[in-house]
Amino acid sequence: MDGRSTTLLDISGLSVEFRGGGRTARVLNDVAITLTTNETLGIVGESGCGKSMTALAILRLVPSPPGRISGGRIVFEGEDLLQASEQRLRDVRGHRIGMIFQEPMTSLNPVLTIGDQLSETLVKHLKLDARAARARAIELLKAVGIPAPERRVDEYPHQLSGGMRQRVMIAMAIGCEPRLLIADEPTTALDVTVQAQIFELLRELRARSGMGLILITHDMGVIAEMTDRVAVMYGGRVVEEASTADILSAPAHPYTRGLIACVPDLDAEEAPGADLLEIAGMVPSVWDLPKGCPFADRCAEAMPRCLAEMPPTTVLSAGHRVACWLQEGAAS
Amino acid sequence: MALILFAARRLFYAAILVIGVLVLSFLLIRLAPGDPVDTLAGQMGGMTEEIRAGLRSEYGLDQPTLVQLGIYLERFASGNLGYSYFFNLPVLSLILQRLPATLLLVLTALVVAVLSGTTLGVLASRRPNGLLSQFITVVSVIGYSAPVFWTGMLLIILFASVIPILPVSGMTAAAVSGGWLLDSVDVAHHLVLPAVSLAVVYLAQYSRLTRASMLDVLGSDYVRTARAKGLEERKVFFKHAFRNAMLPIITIVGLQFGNLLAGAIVVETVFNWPGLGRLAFDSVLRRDYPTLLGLLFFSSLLVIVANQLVDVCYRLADPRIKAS
Repeated sequence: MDGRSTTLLDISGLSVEFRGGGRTARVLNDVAITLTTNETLGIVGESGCGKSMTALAILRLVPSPPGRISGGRIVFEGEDLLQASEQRLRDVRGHRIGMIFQEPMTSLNPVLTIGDQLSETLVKHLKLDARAARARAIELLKAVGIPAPERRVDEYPHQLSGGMRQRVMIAMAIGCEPRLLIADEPTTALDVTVQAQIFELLRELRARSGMGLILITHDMGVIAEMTDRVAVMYGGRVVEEASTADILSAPAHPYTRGLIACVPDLDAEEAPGADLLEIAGMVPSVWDLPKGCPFADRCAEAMPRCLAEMPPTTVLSAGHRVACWLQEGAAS
Repeated sequence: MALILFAARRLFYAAILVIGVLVLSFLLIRLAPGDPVDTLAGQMGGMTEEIRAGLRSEYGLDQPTLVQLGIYLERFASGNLGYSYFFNLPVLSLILQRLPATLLLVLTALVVAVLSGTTLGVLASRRPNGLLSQFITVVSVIGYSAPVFWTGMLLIILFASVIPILPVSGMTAAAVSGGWLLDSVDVAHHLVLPAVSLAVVYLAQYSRLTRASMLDVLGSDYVRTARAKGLEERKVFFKHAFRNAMLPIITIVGLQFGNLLAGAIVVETVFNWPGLGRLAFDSVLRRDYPTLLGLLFFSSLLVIVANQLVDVCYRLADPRIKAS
C-alpha cells in the first residue's frame, strides 16, 4: 500500500428502469458517484430512494426482468462494467468487488455449511484447492472475529447468531481481497451493540487493505462516524454530494438538512416525550415521480419553479455538488 | 442413546397405528352388507339356508363381531394372518407372493415421477415465461386432471392398436424363462405402460411444485449472494437453489406415498398387473375378509416405512431439522 489514492470507481449517468403493467418506473436517474482507493463513501437516504439499487447496479445484479440498466457508465479500475461480458462480470463479482447485504439472516444459504459457502468463492477466484480453501476460510473467520473458527467452519448458518452471520458475510466478501467493498445497510438487522462491532471491523479492514468502501445507510450517525464523503440520494437521484465534514457543517439541500435534524440528540435537554423530528410526507413512488424536484412536495422551502422543473446540479465548492433551485447562483 | 430412544418411540407409535388400522378396517368391513357366504352362494347359483348356516358356523361368521375381532387379533399376534377363502392360500404367503410386483410398479412410477417431474420443473423455472415453461404448465394441468384409469385406457388403446410396440396386459409374456436377463427385459417391457400411467399424475404435480419452489428460491437473498460471489449460473442453480427447492418436494413425496398405493389398485386392475392392488380389488369383490385385512395391514406398513424414509431424507437434506 503506497497510501496514494487513485480513482477506483467512476459512475456517471447511471439510470435504471423497471417495467410492469405497461408502465415504466425510473428507479435511478442520472446517478453520478466517484470513489477512490482508501476512501469510504456513504450513500444515505430513506428507503426506496435508490441506494440499494445503485449497489446492485454496480455488480449488474439488478433483478431483470423487470429491471433494466437503461444508460450510463460504471467504470471500475478503468473498465466499463456495463460493457463487460457476463463471463467477465463473474470474475469481478466476489473477487474485485465484494458485497455485504442487509439481511444476514436470509443472505446465507441454509443448507450449506459456512465453510462451504466461504470456500466456493476462494476456489472460483483464487483457484485454491479444497484443502487450501478450507484453511483460508478458517483464517478469514478468525480475521472477522469469530471465536472457535475451526468448529464454526463446519456449522450451518442457523447455528450462528445474527451478528456472527454478518461477520461470515463480511468474511465472504473480503475473502479474495477485493478493491471495492459494498456494504448495503450491514447492521440494520442487528442489535445496537453488535452494530458498533461490525462498523469497527469494517473500518479496520478498510484501513488495512486500502480498498474503497461504499457504505449504504439511512443513519446520519453512521455517516458521521464512518465515512469520508457522502452522496445523499432521493427519488433515484443524487441530490447532494460532498465531504462528510461539509455535509454535516454546511448541508445545502433541504433534504440533507432534514436528515441531519432527524438524528436524535441524546445530550439535548429536551423534555422527555418531546416530539422527535421527522421529515413530513413520504418518499414519492418511483412509478409516479413528479416532473420537477422529487423532494418538492415535502420541502418547506419549495418554490413554484421546484414543482415545474428539475433543478440542475450546482457546484458549491470543490467536491460539493447539490441539485436544488435554492442554490442556483451560489456556484463558486 | 438418544437415537435408540428416538427409534423406540417411533416404533411404539407405529405399532399403535397399525393396530388402530386393523381394528378400524375390521369393523368397517363388517358394516358392509353381505358376507363371504352370500358371495359364495351367489356364485354357486343358490344355496339352502341350512348350508349357509353350516358354512357360517364353520368359518366363525356366526359369532358376534367383537368376538371375531378378538380371535383375529389373537391370531395376528402370533403371526397368523388367516386363510384366504377364495385363493385357497394362507394370506401371508399370498401377499408376499404379490408384494414384489407392486413394489416394482410403485417404486418405478415414483422414481419416474420424481426424476422427470423435478427435471421439467427446473427447466421451466429457468425461463418462467418461456415457451417450454408454458408447455410444461399445460401438460401438467392435463396430466393432473386426467384420472389414472383413463390415462391407462388411452395408453392401452394407443399401444394395443395404433402403435403396438408395448404389451398392455400382465407382467410377463406367455413364453417363459430365457434366463434372468431376458426375463428382466420382459418384465421391464411389460412395466412401461402401467408405470407411466401411474407416474403421470405425480409427474405433473411434481413438475408444477418444483417450478414454483425453484422460482421462490431463485428470488431469495442467498441466491443473490451466490450471484454476487461470481459463481456460474449452473452452480447458482444446482448447488444453491435446487437443494433448497427440493425440501417441499420431499415432504410431498412422503405424504403422497399412500395415494400412490391407492393408484396402484386402479393401474394393476387396468393392466392386469399381478400385484397387491389387483389382489385388493379381487378380495373386495369376493368378500375375502382375511386377505383384505392382510392387505390393509401391509399397506399401512408400507406407508409407515415410506414416511420414515422420507424423514431420513429430509434430515439429510435440511441441516436445520437436526437441531430440533
